[in-house]
Amino acid sequence: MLKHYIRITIRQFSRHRISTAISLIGLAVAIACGLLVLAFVRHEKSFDRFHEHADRIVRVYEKQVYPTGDLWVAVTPYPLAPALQRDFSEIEAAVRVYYGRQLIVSRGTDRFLQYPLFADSQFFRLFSYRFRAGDPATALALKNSVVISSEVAGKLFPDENPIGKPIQVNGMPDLTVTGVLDPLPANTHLRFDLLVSLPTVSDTWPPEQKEAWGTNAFVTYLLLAPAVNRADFDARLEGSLKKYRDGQGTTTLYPQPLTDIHLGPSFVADNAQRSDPQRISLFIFAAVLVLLIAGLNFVNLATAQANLRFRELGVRSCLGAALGDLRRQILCETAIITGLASLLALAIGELAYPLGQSLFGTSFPRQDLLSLPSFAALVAGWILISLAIGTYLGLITTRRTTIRWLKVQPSGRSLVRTVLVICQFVVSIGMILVALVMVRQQNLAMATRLGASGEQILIVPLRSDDTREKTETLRQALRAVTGVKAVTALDQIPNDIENSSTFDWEGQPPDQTFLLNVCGADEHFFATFGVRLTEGRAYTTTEQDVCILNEAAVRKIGWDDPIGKVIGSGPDARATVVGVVEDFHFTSLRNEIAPLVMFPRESPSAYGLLAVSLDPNDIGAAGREIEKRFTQICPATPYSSSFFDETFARLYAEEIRAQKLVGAFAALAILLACLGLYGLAIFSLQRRTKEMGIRRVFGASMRNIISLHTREHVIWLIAANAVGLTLGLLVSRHWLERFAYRTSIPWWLLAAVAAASVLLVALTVGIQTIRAARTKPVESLRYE
Amino acid sequence: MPSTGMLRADVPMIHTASLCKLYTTEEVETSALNNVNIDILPGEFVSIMGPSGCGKSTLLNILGLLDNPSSGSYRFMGAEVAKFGERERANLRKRNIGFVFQSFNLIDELTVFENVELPLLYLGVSASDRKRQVEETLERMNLMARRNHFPQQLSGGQQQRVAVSRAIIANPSLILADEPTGNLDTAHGDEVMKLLTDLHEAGTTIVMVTHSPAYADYGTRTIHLLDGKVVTENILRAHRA
Repeated sequence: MLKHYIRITIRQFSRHRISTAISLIGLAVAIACGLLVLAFVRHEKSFDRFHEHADRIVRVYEKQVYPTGDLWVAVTPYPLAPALQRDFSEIEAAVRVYYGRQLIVSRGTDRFLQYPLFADSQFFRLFSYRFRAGDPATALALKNSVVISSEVAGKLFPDENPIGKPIQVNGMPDLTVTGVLDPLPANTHLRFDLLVSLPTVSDTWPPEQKEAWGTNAFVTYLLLAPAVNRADFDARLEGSLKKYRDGQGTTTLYPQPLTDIHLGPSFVADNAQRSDPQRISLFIFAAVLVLLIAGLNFVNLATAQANLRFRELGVRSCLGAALGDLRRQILCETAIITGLASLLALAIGELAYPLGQSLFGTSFPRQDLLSLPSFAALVAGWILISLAIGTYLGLITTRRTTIRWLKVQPSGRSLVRTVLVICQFVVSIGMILVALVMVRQQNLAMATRLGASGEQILIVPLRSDDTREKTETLRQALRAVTGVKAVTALDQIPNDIENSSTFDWEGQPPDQTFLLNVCGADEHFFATFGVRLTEGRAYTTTEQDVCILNEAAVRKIGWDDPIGKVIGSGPDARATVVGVVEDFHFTSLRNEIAPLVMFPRESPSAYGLLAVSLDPNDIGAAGREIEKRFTQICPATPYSSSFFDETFARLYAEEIRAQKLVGAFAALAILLACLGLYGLAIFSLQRRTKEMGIRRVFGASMRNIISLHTREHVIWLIAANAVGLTLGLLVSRHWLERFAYRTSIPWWLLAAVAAASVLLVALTVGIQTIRAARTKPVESLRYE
Repeated sequence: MPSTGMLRADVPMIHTASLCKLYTTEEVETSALNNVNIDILPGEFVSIMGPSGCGKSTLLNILGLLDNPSSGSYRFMGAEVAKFGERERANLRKRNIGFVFQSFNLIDELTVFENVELPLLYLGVSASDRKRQVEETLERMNLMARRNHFPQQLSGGQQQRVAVSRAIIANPSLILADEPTGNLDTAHGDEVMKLLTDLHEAGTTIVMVTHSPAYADYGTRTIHLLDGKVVTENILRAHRA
């Protein structure tokens, strides 16, 4: 019997090639999307689980309390880790990790920019990174020892064993390689190229710096003993910092499980490789919607096709097939096509893997796509979809009596099918609106960003002491390059200023304080970034103890006339306000523009960056000349640069990813919906060809016929637009809530989406209808 | 599952008493059959005649267990089947009744062989037995050369021969034919009637609905229906018990 079912299924497919292809490909593409999303979600949820003690490791974070709101901070004071290990018997090991800036790593004449991490000797007791060479237990035990990645080993020691050999890292004594790591797994929140023993740098610090409980720069990880009473431990940890600070302060400490870091909340000064958990939900939601649309297509086309098969079912029933036999046959046919779609989905998923990586913005391993859980999900999904759709089709196609099957004239209309098509378009229209709103929000961010006036700004990091010493020389040399409009030295890329401090000011009411963001920059900052001063003047290179506030800071302090007033962060650090700069977005539009203070550093060498404003017509030549001059002045430092817009793109990485993904899924959704509609239009016109002939015989014009057939589509399309746009509007508004500065959703955007949907539907069904209406009446009447 | 009794030549294979069929819509109630009382003995060849809409096909559908009567009694092979559910009717159908339709009702996606094989599939006959039986039948019907053809590749007469082959493949005791020559020209119509006559000669009970008096005369008895009632019955020749 199974052979018979397979045979009839294959012949049905070949008879209804277009609708079968639409169902099959639609379902396969949707399942492939599901597989990619599943692989991505598994990867995201697998972060840091490979560490042997993953379930016992926590990261300590701080809650800092300010009148303006609480701050959650990922870094802690230097003395915290040893103090906790001393005072808590539950802690087996405590490790400090310090993220360094990119450093020049060299051996002989080979120089490379690499990301370092500084860590205590017990680092590898907590983290189970695999060693290619060396002993994890002793690798970081000694000062000036370094563990390098296999990639760095390959660059510096192409044909040698690196163990025991020295390498040079700028600003440090020679470091001895004590270990080589296998390539880091993709699912670790810590990213680094080399791991330097912490005493290498900390031994050079004065004792007061190592005892400073007020400076946060170190991530503290704890390895807890098995079966710790977590509630008790957490409660004691919370208040411990106050104890170390002699009862001062309101900052409290909390443990964050290692496996929660990647998808956990965003903290200040958090360098961990993080993902937005909302993104995962969004991806799952989008994949489910696409799967739903493809499933509805399948059901719609299958029920339309079933209409043409009632006679076959009736004959089978006459010949002795019981209802169960017929339902089994339909279930089997459904299982065959969904099984084929699942196999095809594997191939599509494999082919679409690079696209998936780009859309998801994560390099999840390819093997996740074809792993056992993926196969299990595929098989489970196949059984579930087959059972759901097959049972539904079986029930609706076999609810007639045998005799009605034999007599039935296929119906051109079905309420259920119409509702299902409306559902597909509701989802598609809603997704398109959300995608367009995301694009508008991104456009708003682009339009309000620094440097939006048209110039391209190049950021050149000054990574070595040598380059920093020559900051002013470099600045002047680069300014002289043709096509360069301005050059400024500054200490942070003004897209993501995170340094902040509390200040006091003249006339400060008691108990009122807030955090001021701090950015050091020379006087050329304003010309380079095109930022206007609204009051006062810019400071000059030679001035000290002066500052410029932004308008938000002036409003926050409450000064009517800020020029000449003094602010400070202690008795020795006072600065006079000489100007007020207009508010500009120095973080994402997610946040309100925060109070900012800008000041000149005591020496140009204290800045770490140069920002170069370029004429957009002369970028290529100017870029090459900048590199040439940089290399001439600082031959020992590898040149690197990036465009400011790239840092801007990183700032909105989550939004850009979400926008790309929702856009792609919306396009896929509308494509699938239109394909389904196309298939249905073919069935509908097949059934109604005779009717058209009769109407033509009795005087209907082509226009009458076309309008008759388009009218019903227009009616349901209006309904789909009404519901889809409303839902899209609600979702968009919800999504926009994350931003302090939001784009508007104008009426014409809704009208444009509606018009586009009408156009698409008109194209999808219109051509078919015109073709059918043009058939000569005599041929139409002969049709059946 | 109620069982049907043994067939005895003097006991009707089909017995209806006060058989009625009403079709009810929201606004109209139509009586398709009104107190129909008929007996058909095993081995008879009964032709049912009457104008369009008189209830011929409705009666045939009820006799063929494709539909239930609204009221009255229907005993098939000794068992009361008027109230049977779809499952029981399907079970009885596949074991005892073969159908031949005016429009052939072959399944377009199946070859001649597969169409004829279909009833045996539902009876759970093994593949080797199915092959043997189908080939024997196709041989008998002179259709072996067409065994791998699809219905649309055959003439109307050939299609109806396939339909008859399918009707007899499971060796049913009753064949119901609903205007089997209606879609055929005279030559092919004669050919199909010859087949039915041969089957009758071989002992199969046949009930045929037809508009054609000439083809009705192939039977042993003619029943005339009008407005859902039996109006006359003519015995054309003696039934061989």
